[in-house]
Amino acid sequence: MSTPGAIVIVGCGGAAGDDAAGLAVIARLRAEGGLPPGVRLHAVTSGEQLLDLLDDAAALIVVDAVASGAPPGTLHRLRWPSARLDGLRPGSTHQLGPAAALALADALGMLPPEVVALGVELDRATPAAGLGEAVAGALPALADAVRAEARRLAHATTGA
Amino acid sequence: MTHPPPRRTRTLAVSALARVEGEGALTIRTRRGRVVGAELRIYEAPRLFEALLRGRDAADAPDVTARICGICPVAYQMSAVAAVEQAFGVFVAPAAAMLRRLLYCGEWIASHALHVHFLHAPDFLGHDGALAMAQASPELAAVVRRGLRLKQAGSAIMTLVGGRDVHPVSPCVGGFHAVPRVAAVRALRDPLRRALDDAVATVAWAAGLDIPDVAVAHEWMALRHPDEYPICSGRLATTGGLDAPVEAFLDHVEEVQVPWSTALHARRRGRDVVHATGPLARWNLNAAVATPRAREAAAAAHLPVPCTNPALGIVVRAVEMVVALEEAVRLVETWEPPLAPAVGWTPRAGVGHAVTEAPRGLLYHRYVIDDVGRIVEARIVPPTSQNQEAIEADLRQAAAGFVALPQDEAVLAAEKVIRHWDPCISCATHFLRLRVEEAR
Repeated sequence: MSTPGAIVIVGCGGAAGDDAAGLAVIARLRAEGGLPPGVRLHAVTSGEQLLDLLDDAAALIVVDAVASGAPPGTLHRLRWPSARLDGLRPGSTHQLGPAAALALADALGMLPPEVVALGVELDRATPAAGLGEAVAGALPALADAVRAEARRLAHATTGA
Repeated sequence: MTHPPPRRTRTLAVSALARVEGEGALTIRTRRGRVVGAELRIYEAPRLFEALLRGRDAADAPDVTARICGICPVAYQMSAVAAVEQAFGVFVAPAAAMLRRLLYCGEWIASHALHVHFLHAPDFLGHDGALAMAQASPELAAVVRRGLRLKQAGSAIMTLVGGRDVHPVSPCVGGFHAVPRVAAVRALRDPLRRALDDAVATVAWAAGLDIPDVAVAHEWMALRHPDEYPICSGRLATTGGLDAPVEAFLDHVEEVQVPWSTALHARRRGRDVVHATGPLARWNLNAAVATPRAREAAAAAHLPVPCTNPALGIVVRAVEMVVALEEAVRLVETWEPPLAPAVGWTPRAGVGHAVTEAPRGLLYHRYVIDDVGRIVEARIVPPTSQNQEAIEADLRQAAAGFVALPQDEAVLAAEKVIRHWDPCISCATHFLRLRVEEAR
């Protein structure tokens, strides 16, 4: 059962090269911890799965690989709603991308008041390849950014 | 309203073929303004899978073929395990068979919930997708929420029984690698009962949509089972009178290449009819053995038997969600774990065939296996390759009504005809290029 008022952290990704960054950061956070209490960690491969995880969420952090043209390994932070997330195209039509899932959740009133997207600029999403050097090198910093965001949100949502 | 005079070749602008899995390019040929042909070009990957399976351990077939589709991986796993088990002479425990049916119900529920609410419904409501529906009115937002709840109910089954909801990992030759605890299975009962009420409401809602009155003349082909709505077992049947064991599938269906598509077309062997598979086919051949609430909901919705209107697929899929949820409730209430998750087996040389009912229709697998259990030859005939000719026939039938329309409207009309079939074409890009060619 979910914890009321939880901070939900969702890593999105697939098995193709740097696209696995969102999944890798969740694995890292599971192994290393360092998160405030009451945090739920999830790894998903499609946007609809994200929609199943929002019950009782007080805040949501979405972590994914980003292709914006910045140097590989660059960290990104966006707060929902953001025009930069609006325009993203889904990767598949039978599955929603994370941005489309957020838009739908927003329209349905399912989003918590605080939604933050954290990302790392990808280099190559090569099928069956592991994470590239730039993204693998940025993972510790990305995990730290997620921890810092979670602490900030824990502070904000509990009013402590 | 006047239309420009017909040109010899008119190419309509590319627009995203939204809400269909894959890439499609459609060419409509006209002669003196009359529609003479429709060619739908789509891509499918199974041929590559058939080649890469050769030489592999037959026990790998379920997990390898599951990767053909992210929407119906369970269907591929179930056809593969059943075919390999037949070749090896393996009989799974009844408890494992029940669990497979439950897992498959989860996939039907999730797949149909998505198509009904997110992909198909917008066409009847004049919206371009679920997001627009959710923003349009509180009533439609409630419909989208119901779709998400139903999808979640199906995913919950797949997560518990399959180990995860996308590309489940637990099924294997002989049964399952691991089975869930009884308490966890029983705990699905209440959420599934609530989802069942949602599915019944979906039938009534779908039947109230403004559904075009169309009739097509296909021969409907599905598994038929005397006692239950068929998913994993039954005999091969058609509304044209075919009644054969599934091993005879290739005696009745042949695959042919057409120059305009990389996907093989599967058609009836030696018969000049277009056959079609999927929810309408299953309903037309098995309505009498549908579960009680499904029959009740279908009767209240005045769903005919046989149903020859592909647009009514939205109602049939909703009815099948009721079937799958009633079955799922029954299975989670009565399932007891097997003595072992899987029965033991030893490989032997042989041929195995299986047909199961994927959400989109009949999925045939055939494996020739050598004496050490390696695959010598693999054959996979998915539902969408069987339905291509039916989709093209429907497009020819409907095209007279839309070829003269402005491009946007013509593309939308063609897309609607295609979407009735919920074709699943795994591919990277998503465009329908509609080209109307006037023959000389």
